[in-house]
Amino acid sequence: MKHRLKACTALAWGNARIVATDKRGRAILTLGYLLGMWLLYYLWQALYAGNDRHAGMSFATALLHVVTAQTLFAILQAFGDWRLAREIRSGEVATALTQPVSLPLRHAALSLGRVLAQAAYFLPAFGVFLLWAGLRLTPSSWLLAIASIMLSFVLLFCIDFVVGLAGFIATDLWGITASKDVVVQFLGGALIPLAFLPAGVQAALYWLPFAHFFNTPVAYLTGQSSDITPLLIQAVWAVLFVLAAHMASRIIQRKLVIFGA
Amino acid sequence: MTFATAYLRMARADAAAKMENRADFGLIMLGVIATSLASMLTVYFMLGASGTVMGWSRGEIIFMQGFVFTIFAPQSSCFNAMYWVEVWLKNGNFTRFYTRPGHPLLLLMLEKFHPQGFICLFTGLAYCVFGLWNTPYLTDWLFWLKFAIMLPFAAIVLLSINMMAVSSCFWFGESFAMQVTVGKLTDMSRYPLELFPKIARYAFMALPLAGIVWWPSLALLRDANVWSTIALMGLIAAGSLYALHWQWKLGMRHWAGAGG
Amino acid sequence: MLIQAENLSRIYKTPRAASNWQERFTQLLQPQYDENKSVSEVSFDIARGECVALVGPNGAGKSTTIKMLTGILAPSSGRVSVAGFDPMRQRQDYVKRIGVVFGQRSQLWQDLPVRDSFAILQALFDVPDAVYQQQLKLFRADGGMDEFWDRPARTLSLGQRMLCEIAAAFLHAPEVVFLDEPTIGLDLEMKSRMRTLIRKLNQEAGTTVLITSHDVGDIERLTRRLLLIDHGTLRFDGSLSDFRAHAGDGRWWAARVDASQIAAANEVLAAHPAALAVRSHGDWLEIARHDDALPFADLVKTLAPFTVHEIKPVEQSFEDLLHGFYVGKQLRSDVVEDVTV
Repeated sequence: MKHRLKACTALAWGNARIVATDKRGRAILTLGYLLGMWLLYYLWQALYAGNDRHAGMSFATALLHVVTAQTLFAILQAFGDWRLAREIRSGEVATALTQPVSLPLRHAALSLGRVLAQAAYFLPAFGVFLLWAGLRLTPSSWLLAIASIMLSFVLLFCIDFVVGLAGFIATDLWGITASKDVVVQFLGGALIPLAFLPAGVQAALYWLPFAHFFNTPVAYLTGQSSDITPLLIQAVWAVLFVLAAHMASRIIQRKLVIFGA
Repeated sequence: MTFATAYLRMARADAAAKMENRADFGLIMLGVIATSLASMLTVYFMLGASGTVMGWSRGEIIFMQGFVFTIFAPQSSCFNAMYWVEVWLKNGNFTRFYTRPGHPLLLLMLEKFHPQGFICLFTGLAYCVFGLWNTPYLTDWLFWLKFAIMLPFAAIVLLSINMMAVSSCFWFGESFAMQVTVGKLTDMSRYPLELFPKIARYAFMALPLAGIVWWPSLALLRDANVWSTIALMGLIAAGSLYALHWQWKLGMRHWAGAGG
Repeated sequence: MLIQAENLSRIYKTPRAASNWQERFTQLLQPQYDENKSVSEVSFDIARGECVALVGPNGAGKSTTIKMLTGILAPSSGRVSVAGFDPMRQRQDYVKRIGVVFGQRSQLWQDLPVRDSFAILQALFDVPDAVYQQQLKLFRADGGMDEFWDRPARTLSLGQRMLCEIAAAFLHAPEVVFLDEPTIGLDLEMKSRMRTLIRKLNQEAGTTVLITSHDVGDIERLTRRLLLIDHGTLRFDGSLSDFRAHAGDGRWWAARVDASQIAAANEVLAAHPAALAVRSHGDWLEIARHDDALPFADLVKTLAPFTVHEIKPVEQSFEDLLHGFYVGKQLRSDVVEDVTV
């Protein structure tokens, strides 16, 4: 156990440093992020120009929701699907299986490293934007919010891991990863608050895992929600998703035995 | 026998090879449909049934989204290899762009052909029609003629902008950050630019992201002069191509200079 | 002359790293570069129909030279002309006259069957059908390309792929072919097949070939002329036999001495007044051959006290000669004393 923790820390730290050392890339990404947020502000402002309530949300609430969700997406997007699919295609996954850390755990550590590095440069920019826009995060409980973000990471990582299996069947990975990204963003409430969708759809997304990718942690962060139920539903889904990732890992090992990597 | 023959041979062979791999093909289709559907539905629900933004109706904004998908089709089919340039620069396979006859941008076209562009085209056109449903434009053949004339120019502008972002890898090594940033800007340029503050509007015009969908929409759906808009678009398209040509010329010099 | 290189130089500039903020600021306004001469003042001519090897250790400037000859890289100074073309300025017309193979790089469309890749190249290089068929015949029959003619390039083995690469370079019947490490990573059988093809195309079709290789076998079996580059300068230009003379004849006497006496014999030989280099190779004791300082009769006399089973002259291999040249110890008989083995 202690060994595994050490190995994972090393993997996460290593990947975080790889992401963080590309100074020019980081600068361009941060700038692009701020630019995108700045334009988003005016888009939503224009939307609210005629009437001050849409789907029961005020301009400030809706904007805060969208920018927080977009920031979470930018931070939590760890490209684990690409990484695994590439490893499968190149046969590198066989080498990874010889390491004394399980495959999903290894990838989770790598993804976590990337997420932490991304947080280190997107969070300050997020702060700057909130100051400029005159917005504030007012969670009723930071504990709930942070727990919910961590569960989001688990959910998103497990999806990445399962989607990465596409490496076995597809040579071109854009289709599947792009589909996953937009489904997660749109149905997860990162493009528009889920409150804008029809009530029936909202209810369905709430009981399904979708709403818990972004809508739930964002609702805690912005203070829209202080109820613990969404977190519990999120936790149940996280457990199921972890099981799914384990199954995926089993499939990889079985296929490797059959095909001999 | 010329470049055209070579291109036809490549396109036929590559399309056949792509169709043979059913999983690949299915997933790519899924990608095109999912991404376009998500952006259309975002607008649909964001604006609500009666919503307008600065005088632009929901249908008109959906038309603008559809316009972008339509003009993305040529890039998607013919220039998909652009995302490989970075890889080829790193592993040295890019040398073939120097040792084959023909303009390097044509040689890039010759690398891959993907039928996914057709799906992109049909999805885009479908959204355009959907956006204009119940408007007089739908049955106005002159409107669609102007639309058809503007498409290629807008497509060239979009292609050049995306290519220039990707080709920053000649200097930076990696173009991911540039692609993400330019992608954000092109995403935003699908909305009426009147929403944005003056400085952003001017920047969009200068870049010239306004040439992708904003100016064509003003001419097609508002009262901007159509023929002068078409002339302007032609100029912008030519200008972007010329800039792209020079970027590649300098880039190819620079890369070789770095030792390859 | 088909290929002319005159005082060819290439300088690489790398931005100088700043160590403090003041430097960083001044560099922003006036960037500073470190200059590194990769190729310096290289001149040579190659006639039509020649097969020439360009050799040198890693980083000597071989690839840079080939890149300048093929129009990939602009010379910093000097002039290149191949078949009357300026490779950089007239690139598009020029490349139709040449063929290029870079060992680890690919010309082929990875996802397409080999047949389609060649059909595309035929159209692109504007090769008439008759020429196309004739050029391919050799590779399909002798090279065995028929076996994988319908397979996508990405499924080929390294040897099969290299065969295709070389076939692709010769497809448009070019006047000159530049081969940069064409046999790297190939097995012995494939290497020899490749050499046979290249020799055939050079000798029968009269294609001029410039080849770089670290494989001495390629050089010895394919070429008569050697251009040796080291640290960016041309150190030798001439025939292989001239090179042997230039690099020292490197001949040795080898004597097979009874195992129990090798050490003693070694001591006696080393103590000989001629002070020639002595080395041992298993049962064999080798001494640098110098017919004036140590005539054969003297050698026999010196070894008389020992049980000698056999004495034979040995020639230093070409590989050893090259190696000696690279490390700067030219094994000429008159300087052989410097060699400590």
